[in-house]
Amino acid sequence: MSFRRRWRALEEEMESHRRLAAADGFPPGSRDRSPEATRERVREQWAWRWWEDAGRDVRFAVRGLRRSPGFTLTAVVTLALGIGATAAMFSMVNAILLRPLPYPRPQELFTASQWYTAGSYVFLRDHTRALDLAAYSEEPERYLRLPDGEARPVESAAVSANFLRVMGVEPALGRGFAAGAQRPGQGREVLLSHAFWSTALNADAGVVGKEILLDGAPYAVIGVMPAGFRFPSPKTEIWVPLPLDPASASYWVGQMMPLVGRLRPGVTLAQAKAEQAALRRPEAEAAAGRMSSTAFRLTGLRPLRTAVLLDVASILWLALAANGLLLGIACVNVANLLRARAANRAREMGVRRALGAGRGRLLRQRMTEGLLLAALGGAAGVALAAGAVALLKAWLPGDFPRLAEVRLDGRVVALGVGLALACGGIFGCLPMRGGGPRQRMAGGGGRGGPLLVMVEVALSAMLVVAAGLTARSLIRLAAFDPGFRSAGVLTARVHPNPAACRPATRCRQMYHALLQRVQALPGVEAAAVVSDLPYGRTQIATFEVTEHPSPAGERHRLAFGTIVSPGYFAAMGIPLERGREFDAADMTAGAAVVVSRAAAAQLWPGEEAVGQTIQVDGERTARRVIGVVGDVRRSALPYTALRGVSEGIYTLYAQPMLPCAPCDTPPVNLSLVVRSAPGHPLTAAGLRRAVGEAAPAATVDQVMPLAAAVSAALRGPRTAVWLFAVAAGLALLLGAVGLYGVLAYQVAGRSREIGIRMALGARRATVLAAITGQGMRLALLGCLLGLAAALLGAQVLGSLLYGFNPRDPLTYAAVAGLWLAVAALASFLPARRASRVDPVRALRCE
Amino acid sequence: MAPDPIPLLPGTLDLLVLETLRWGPQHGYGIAVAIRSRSGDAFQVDPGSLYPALHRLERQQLVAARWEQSEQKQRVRVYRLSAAGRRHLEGERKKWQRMAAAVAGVLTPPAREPQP
Repeated sequence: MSFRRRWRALEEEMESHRRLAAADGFPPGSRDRSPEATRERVREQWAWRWWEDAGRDVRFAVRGLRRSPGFTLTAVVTLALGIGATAAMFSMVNAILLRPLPYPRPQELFTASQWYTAGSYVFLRDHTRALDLAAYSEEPERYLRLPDGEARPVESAAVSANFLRVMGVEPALGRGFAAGAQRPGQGREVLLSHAFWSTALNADAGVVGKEILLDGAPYAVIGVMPAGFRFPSPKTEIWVPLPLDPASASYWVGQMMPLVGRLRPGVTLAQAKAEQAALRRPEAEAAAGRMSSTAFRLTGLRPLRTAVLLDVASILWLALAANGLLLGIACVNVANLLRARAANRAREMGVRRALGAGRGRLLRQRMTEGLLLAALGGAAGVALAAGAVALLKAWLPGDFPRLAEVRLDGRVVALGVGLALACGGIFGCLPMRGGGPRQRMAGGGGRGGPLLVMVEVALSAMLVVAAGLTARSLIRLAAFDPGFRSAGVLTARVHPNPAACRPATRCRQMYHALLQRVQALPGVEAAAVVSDLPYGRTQIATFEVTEHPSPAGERHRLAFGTIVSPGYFAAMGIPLERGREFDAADMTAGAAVVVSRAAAAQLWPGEEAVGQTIQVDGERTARRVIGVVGDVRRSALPYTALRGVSEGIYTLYAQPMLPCAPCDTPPVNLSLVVRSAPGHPLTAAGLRRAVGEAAPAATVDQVMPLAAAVSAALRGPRTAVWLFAVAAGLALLLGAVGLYGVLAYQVAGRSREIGIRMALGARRATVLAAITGQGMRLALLGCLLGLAAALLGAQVLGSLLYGFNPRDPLTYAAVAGLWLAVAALASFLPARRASRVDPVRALRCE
Repeated sequence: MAPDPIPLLPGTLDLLVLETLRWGPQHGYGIAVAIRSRSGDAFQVDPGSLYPALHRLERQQLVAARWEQSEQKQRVRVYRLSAAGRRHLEGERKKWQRMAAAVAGVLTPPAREPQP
């Protein structure tokens, strides 16, 4: 019966008692107390015994722990590490993976696995009844100038007019896009993110209705989005209408966009899929070769949440698993400490049992001590987790999905408390195994020791293998030849005044003057501009090889398109393999293109690429290949979302390839790349000064060595892997210390046996070999178990290894060697100490 | 005026309750009244002790309890002694008698011979 029900029954009973007493004519106040006093007394009696015992146990446990501060500190810190790491990781998993996306009815939001052109989107939007479909696109960098303020680059997203309706959000201020905003010539409207509005505009509500300049063109601010809205990227600062102009060159080619759809009321996913399967490609578009054979239906429909979290889900789960294993190791370590402590107190316990203390009473006391330790460890762990979460949020890259939503909430604290309680329960029970009073009086470790050694070694070997594999994959990642030489190269992003870039020739002249000025600086070997640095944004160019056209209606060839100035390959250290580089004459002469080695091999297999021609979609004339250069890695990672596009084509900024944002102007913002001679480093200040002299209207930012830009690009994957590696590194530490502790303690417990054997004439070497061999056997067994588990588990690590072999024998051998060395040392050193003790003293000891 | 009440020795309340119930089922108030009258007003049972004791005995299955209608048409909880309670009472009664005799023996002035 629950306490509450018992209490209510008792209340009723006492009420009837009072009525009966009153009926008997007893004055209620004489001996019977007031109802409150009676109630108080009952409460006291019921709770008293329990509290009394618990209080005595806790006082006893506190006294015991205070008597051995070293033990207490070690145990609490170990537990705090395990619980803190697990709770911190869980708070990430909880906020990022478990909580629903912060939009109304998020389970109705779906996205396709494929991206679509504007034309395909319009077709799908008009022919899909099951879903309300919106398109969004993260735009190339744009340049925003406030009415009376300075200009700055902003992260912008272009979205279809129904985007807000599909996502289910309303602007916090102002209104959303009007239905006609996507028509050509319309849509000079912009929505601001809450963060941008608060920081750049000081949360000025009067900004709605004002005008701002975006890349030099006037836009009306129509609203501010709510604070929690961060889509498509956590970094998005402004939203503009997505232009859908069938007359535009990029309507059917080039720009590809992800789509997001909301299931209409009462429609199931299966119905939506069936509807898509029934869609047919319109004849007219097929004949015109405008809609490829896959672009007329939504494929691979999946929840938006899955798509958003695709990159981080596996890493977060893995990191959580690693931290859980770490907690296991911490628990084993503390259990072992407690075991050693129990053995030290075996005599005390034996005496107490002999004096009549019940077995249950002693167990309860032990449990209390374990729970108290666990509670201290849990409290410290939750505090540690709070710190770790703050650290992670500061440290992880800003575009890590849903990072802003991560916090230490009730669920995380509950997990911490639960873990602490579980650990405490385990600690309390564990040392009781194997040991009646007699064994305890005799001292020694009891059973369970070998098991602890094996569990310890197996768990930590598993984690350390994982750490070794990820660390080696990181090293390999950093050492991978990117295809360019970053040493001695300084880069910067140039934002010219948009007014200075109309007409386009003026912009070109500005860059020409700028490059001339920079090339004249002392020590500069080469200087050039480029649309985007490697590992930065990428533009996909679609084109046809004149000699080998694709079948009608099929997808055109794709390649990474980069716009450069003459001298770019020299400045970047990209080797020229065939033909020639761009030169000044190409700036005015006919259209030229340089292709990468991979592109040449794929487009003209077995042929000479130089001299061939390609037809870029949307361009009037074909481009002639003048040279082939080495391949450059497009992404910091061996795989990208654009798998299968590894080829690059380069064009001059005087003749940029289509499509570019507004297709009749060249790209405005370019990156400057300057290579200096060794010993003549160009400083950031020097570069800024030179740009300031040559192009006073332009602003410069992101001035940094190319090496720094490269490592910034690697930062995302690195931090993700580090999440995992930190847990594994801690496992190495805790595991090694723990293994040493368990083994050394076991051997120390046998010092009497060693003494007897020595006294009986055993040779020292024999005894040492026997003792060390026993420890090694246990460690070896545990190690084999751990390595086998790691071998099975390594497959799930795949995504973190970036192509590194998850069965790399070197890593496994190194881990096995490491643990065996720790085990050997941990058995040998105490055994040697024991064997040096005078046998007579060892015998007398007990 | 009744004599001053004496405080109950610890552990005796259960015994008194069980003994009272040996005479037939009774509700809590009735038990309190019976103990008071049979002890000549020496023991005045505090309801704050009585009801927890009754619940404890019920949990130990020494008594059984049921809500019933009293003669005055009141809802009361009536307790009756179980078979286990009867056995327990007899055991405790013997212990108590031995203890009372022993205590009395110890406390008896030395001039008189100790009782066997």
